[in-house]
Amino acid sequence: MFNTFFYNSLAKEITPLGFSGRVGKNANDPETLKTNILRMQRWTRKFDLFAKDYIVIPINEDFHWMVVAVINPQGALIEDGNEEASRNAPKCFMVFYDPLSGLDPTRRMHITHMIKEYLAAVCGATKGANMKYAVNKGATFDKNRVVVVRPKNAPIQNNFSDCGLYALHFIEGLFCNIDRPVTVDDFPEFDWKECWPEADKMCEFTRDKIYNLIKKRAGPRVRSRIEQYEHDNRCGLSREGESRKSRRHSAVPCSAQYRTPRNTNYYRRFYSLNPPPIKVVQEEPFFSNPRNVATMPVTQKVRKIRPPELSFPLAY
Amino acid sequence: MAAPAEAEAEAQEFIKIKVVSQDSNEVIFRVKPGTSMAKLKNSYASRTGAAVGTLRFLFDGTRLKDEDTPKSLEMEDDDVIEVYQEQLGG
Repeated sequence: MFNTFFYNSLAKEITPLGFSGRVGKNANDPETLKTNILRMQRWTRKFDLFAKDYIVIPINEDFHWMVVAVINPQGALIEDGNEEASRNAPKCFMVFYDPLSGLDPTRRMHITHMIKEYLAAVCGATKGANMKYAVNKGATFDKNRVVVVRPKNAPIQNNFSDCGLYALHFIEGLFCNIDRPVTVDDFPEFDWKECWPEADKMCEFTRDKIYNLIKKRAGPRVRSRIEQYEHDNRCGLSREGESRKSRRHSAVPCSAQYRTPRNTNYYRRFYSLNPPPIKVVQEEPFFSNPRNVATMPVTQKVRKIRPPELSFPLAY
Repeated sequence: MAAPAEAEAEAQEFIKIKVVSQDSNEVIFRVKPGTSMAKLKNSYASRTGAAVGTLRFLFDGTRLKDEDTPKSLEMEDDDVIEVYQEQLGG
């Protein structure tokens, strides 16, 4: 599990490559990347990166959270000496999860390219012959053995403010499914729906969990301030669904208990004195809901006809 | 005889630490190995005019805690602490 600043540090002075129209001046400047990687050599000096089963890299770019999970990084290494054996071993999978659907492949390629470069550099610095974490005769990093995948049916956020929540859910979902933790054998046919059938609702659950965690970790002063704020604004988890009416203590109101029943037939009116209120239907702007856009039949059809990689200009 | 030995001891006592911000501005601090990082954070924040809560201090990829000291982190001369702004996303 890497720090959230890992990617920031890796992409320092490299302009973010957001959407395909906006290709930065030094978007794929290998020199800047190389100096950044050199600067980050100290991050992994205390442990062997390739001995891990997972590497999770949370990414914050352009006010958006994404997650890259490298599963089985060992699989990308090719040992000198017994190359055939390591070629037959399971590959390394790089899962790119973008809660904003991640349809744009340019960004995905850009990010995964940089992480691949980093892994290759780390391998070159620690895994060579007679180096710090060398196995047998040393190993080399093969970029072709890294497969970039997007998790199938992963949840997509339905507004523009929940991406952090979905990213957290994704990280949690990789490890916390007790019945079946995600392993290399699941790839590349990995379906998120199988793992978490109700992923969209799980995100709401994650929100509540974070809320409770904050309240638990906070000191008494902060907690009382949170409670005060919730009381003033009538919000918060504990007050959810609470109506403003005063509480009634019996099923039938006291005033109604002794009243004689009215002749409802006589009083009933079949017309209204006030005209019905005019309903103002506010049409939502087209891109208001990323989840709808991603699941639109048109999008699905286009993606079925040809993969989005072909329809965007690529940087690499 | 005593004076140079004392000077050496003093020189050993202090550690030079670079604090580098996102726009690669450097501030150099001389810190004793026993002083807590909270002090360094506060002085950096007051120098740059930002609130301490909005800054994130990293050393070798780990967040600095208030009670950390250069000794506990095994810092050496000319080590670099990186400073980042708070991250937001939506």
